[in-house]
Order: sequence, then structure tokens, then C-alpha cells
Amino acid sequence: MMNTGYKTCNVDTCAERRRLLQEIGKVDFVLKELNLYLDTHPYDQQAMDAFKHYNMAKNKMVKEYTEKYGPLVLSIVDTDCGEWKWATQDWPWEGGYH
Amino acid sequence: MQEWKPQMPYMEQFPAAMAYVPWQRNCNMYENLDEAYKTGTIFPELNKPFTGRRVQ
Amino acid sequence: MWNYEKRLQFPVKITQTNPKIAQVIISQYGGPDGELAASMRYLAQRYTMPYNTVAGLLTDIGTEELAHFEMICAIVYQLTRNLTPEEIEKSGFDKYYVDHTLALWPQAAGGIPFNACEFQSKGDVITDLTEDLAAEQKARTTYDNILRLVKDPEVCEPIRFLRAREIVHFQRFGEANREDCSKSEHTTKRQIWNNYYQVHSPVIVHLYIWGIAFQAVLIYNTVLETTLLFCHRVKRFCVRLSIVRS
Repeated sequence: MMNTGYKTCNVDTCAERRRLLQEIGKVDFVLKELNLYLDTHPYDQQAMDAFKHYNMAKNKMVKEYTEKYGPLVLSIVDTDCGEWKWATQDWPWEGGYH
Repeated sequence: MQEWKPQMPYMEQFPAAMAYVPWQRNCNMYENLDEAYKTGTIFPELNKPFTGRRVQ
Repeated sequence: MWNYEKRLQFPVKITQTNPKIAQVIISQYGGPDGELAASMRYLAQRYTMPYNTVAGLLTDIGTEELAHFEMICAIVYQLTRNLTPEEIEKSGFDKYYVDHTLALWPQAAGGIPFNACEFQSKGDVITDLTEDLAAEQKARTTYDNILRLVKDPEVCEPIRFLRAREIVHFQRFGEANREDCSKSEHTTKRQIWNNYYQVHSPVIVHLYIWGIAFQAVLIYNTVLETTLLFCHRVKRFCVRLSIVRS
């Protein structure tokens, strides 16, 4: 039962893209955990400092990803390249870059 | 993050006939965040993996 | 309001289709303890939650559950992608296929459609939070059962991740249900002081020691001055006395 749903891409850029997406997922996961932790520990300054650190790291990586491969969020999107990549590129459930 | 202790002395404040979960005692994060992501939590204390048997 | 991020919370990439296991996993989409019910439960409960921090927790966990049912749907979708009619018939997927083709539709593993009766929104803090604690454990048990049935590591990894999230959510709901978290203004103020003291304790101790030293010097000076003044007066008195006598 082999699956043929994945689109082919250049091996090197594909691996790099996957790595960067994995890093973004990891940092965003830390942010989500700190978010829930802070909801029940709202006066933990150290957790807030950590949140600030990872939030800046995530924003930097999302910017890099958007410049190199395509948009992840509509707040950071390239509108000068003549292509609305938000819609033309694969959607995440296709599993292509994960 | 360090230990979160201030809540510990308030044991007498818990009325009966209610459900409580103990405060998370150790709020340190995993050193290796890749491992944390794979595990599903950044707090070692909350890592309680499935140890049941799988169909053969 | 919400914004979409064009990625999954945890990677889902399944290369081997398996419609049989997809029929089991779909229960975590539209089943009684699935992610859709979880998300709708928390997002419905938050409006009547009288404590800001707990309403915030319900919003944040409800939002995470949206990302979870997206992952479950991605798993089911990838497990049933491009199936042949033979595979559909052989795996028993035909009963789902006849109504929904290969589309995603929220139902339990037994075919029962998703229903709002699968979650509660009761309007009482303790009732709602206790419901949420139970819901997280039921979802965790469902993931345990799925892990007993699934062999493919590509499916197990995201399922194990989702299972771990249920435990974290349980912990947070349990913390939210405590008197000393958000329900007691008094304790909240004490927490601020405790936190302030933890951060600033070296400075406070330092100031305290210097304060005592400064006071000691002051007292010493006062005592010395008073003594000297007294001696001086006694001396003057004695001198006057000797003058009068002479």
C-alpha cells in the first residue's frame, strides 16, 4: 500500500527546509508550554523571561523561513514576488515538509 | 526556572470535598529541547509515558 | 479571534496507508473524548469563568486542541490517501467510504456522529474544571488504547505526543482548580510579595544589616556625648563649689 501523495523537490533544499520547520515547531512548542505554565503561575518572572527569549527566537526563524521558502503566517508575508505563495504552496496536512 | 515553593505552606487552605492536583514542584525545563518536543512536554516532571503492551 | 499558522503543531508524515487504523484514530477527531469535543468544551466554558487566569487557560488549551484535531485529521487523511477500491473493501473502510468518500467527517470509531452532547458547559467553576480534568484523562486513555493497536512508528510518534499533552493539560486544570491559584485575592498578593522577596532578598538583607550598623553608631554617639556633657557639668560644678568655698 505505497503512498504517492508527496511532491518531489530538490533533496538539499528540502532537508534544510524541513530542519528549519522542525526548529520553528520546537521553539513554538516551548512557547506553548510556557504559555500554559504562566496561566497558572502568573507571577513567575523567570518563566516570562524565558518566554521573551524563545518568542524572539521564533520570530527570527519565521522571518528567515518566509524569505527562503514561503509564508507561515499572514502577518509576515512577501507581497512583492508576484506570487501569493500562501495559497499556491502545499498545505501542512499534506505532510510534504514535515 | 527554579522551584516554585510559595504554595507549599498553604495546605490548610484546601477545603474538603474538592479535587486538587499537587503543584508542579520542579519547574526546570529539559536541557535538550528536541527531546522535550518529541516527548510532548518541556517539564521532566510531567513526562509520564505509556508503558502498556502493544498488539503483536 | 484566531490566526492560522501554516504548519502542524507536531510533524505528521505517514508513508504507509492503513484504512483500518484510520477508522480507529478518527475517534479522536469526532468521538466522545476527541479533540474537537475538547476544543469546543473549553472555548464554550470560558465565557462564564469568573477568574481571568482560568478563562485564559481555557482559551489557550482550547486553541491548542484546535491544532490537535488538525493533527488527527492529517493522520487520518494520510492513512487513507489514494486508496484503491480493493483496499477500501478489504479493510472494512467501505462503510465510511460510501457516505464520505475519502473526506474527513467527525465521527467515533463505531460510526456514531459527533454530537454536542459529548461535552459539558455547566457554568459552575468547580463543575466545569472537574469535567475538564476527567475529559483529559478520558482522552489520555483513548490514546493509550490507540497505542496498543498501532504498530507503525510514523503513526505512534504524533499519537504519543498528543497523549503527553493530555497529561500537561490535566496538570494545568488541576492547578487552576486550587484555592490558592486565582480564586483567592489574599494569596495572590502574598504570592507577589513572596516572588518579590525571592528576587530581592539579598538586597533586603544587605539594607537590614547596614540599618542596624548605622543605628548602633548613632546610639554610641549619643551615649558618648551625653556622658561627656555630664562629666563636663560635674567638673564645672566642682570648680564653682571650690570657688565659693575659697
